Amino acid sequence: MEEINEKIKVATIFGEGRVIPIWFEWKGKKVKVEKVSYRWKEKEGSCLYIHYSIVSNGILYHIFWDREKMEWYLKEIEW
Amino acid sequence: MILHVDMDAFFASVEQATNPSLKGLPVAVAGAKKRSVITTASYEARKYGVKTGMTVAEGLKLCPVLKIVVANFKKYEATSREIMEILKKYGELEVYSVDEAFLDIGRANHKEVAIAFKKEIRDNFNITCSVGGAENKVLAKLASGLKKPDGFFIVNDVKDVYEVSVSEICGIGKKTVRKLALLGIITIGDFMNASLHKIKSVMGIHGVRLFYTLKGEIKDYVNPDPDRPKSIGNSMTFDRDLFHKAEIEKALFQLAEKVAFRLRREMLEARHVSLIVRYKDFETFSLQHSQAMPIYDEKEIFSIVKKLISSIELVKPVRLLGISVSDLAPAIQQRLFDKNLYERYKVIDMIRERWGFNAITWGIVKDKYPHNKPISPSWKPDKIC
Repeated sequence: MEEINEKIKVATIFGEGRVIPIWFEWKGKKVKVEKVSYRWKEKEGSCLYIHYSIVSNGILYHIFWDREKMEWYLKEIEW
Repeated sequence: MILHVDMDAFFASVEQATNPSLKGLPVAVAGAKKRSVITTASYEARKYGVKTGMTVAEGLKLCPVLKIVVANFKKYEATSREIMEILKKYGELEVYSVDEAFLDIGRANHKEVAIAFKKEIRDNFNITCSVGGAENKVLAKLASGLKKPDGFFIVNDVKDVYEVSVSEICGIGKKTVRKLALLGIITIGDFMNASLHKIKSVMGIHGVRLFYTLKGEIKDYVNPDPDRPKSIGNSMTFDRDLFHKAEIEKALFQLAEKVAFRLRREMLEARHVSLIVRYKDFETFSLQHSQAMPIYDEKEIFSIVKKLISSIELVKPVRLLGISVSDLAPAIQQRLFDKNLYERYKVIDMIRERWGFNAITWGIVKDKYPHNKPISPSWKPDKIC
């Protein structure tokens, strides 16, 4: 996986007790979420991060939501 | 009935679910990339002979197309926690490890229950588990291993598994298997037909207890609120082998900090400390220390392991160190006798809980051994730091 660690904008739907990413914007391009292949939570101290593995156009993206800062990040990509 | 639920190649399965392009491929989950040891191999990788405990280099030799994925223990812990929440709906749950649990389903239909939670786990995580069922935990655990992956096997009577090797019974290790074999006890059938005198000569009272448990005369219950942990430990495999005393001591202090933090979080103190040393060539040994006065802080733990390591001559470079504390009891000394020290640790631990473990440390280890990878804990989902 290639490390990116950049802030991104994400459009989400709140439903079924979850936050579901629908698309995100990275380097001026809109990446449509074709599939959320995995989702999990990580805690660092009292900070909660919700992680998603996303497949789009044959590329695997790892994004996460920092719930304390209310920011989304693109952590890494596998081409 | 008691069911034993065992996730199939758990870490590797989670990684294959995370990255669908890995499905059906030989995958190995390893620690730090440089000098990794394989923690789990997918079933596809196992066909090549790739096994847990091998180095990545050994794995790649057996399977040149092996996909190596760096472990993400927090992801596995999070997944495990959610799986255990699913299982809790079906019966009394006893979490055995990060990827295993016992479930007492009483008189419910075991087939219906197993099908239901297997489907729920598969639908939520796209991973499978194998389930074994019996009237006791020993046989249930044995049964889950008989038909993997995505298996389901019920043992109605110990005679159903008479042909199975005694080595398949949890708690019977290689040394005991060899000793039993010398007495002609190779299979479970041999074990059940052997005299108690023979069994006791090799396994002591535990062997006798096992005999009566397998026979169904001793009940072993699923404990939904398990007792405090029997031991707490952490270990580190280093990116490069260590030889110098100063580096080794720094690494030991880092481990002592971690173990002490987990001990205090459980409100426990310990009377026994073990130090595990693994050389570059994988020769491994442990050094032990017991004392009447219980301990709970890193300085005391470090002082003990420092004495232990100084008592021997390290003849080869060290690739792994581990510290484990046992003979645990509820912390009384912490609260009653060392109030100032206790208050100080309360603040330190609060900072760690809030900002993460590495937010604060002791000045004596300000240049820690630079281990940025996960420090492996003893596995139980809620007890991982």
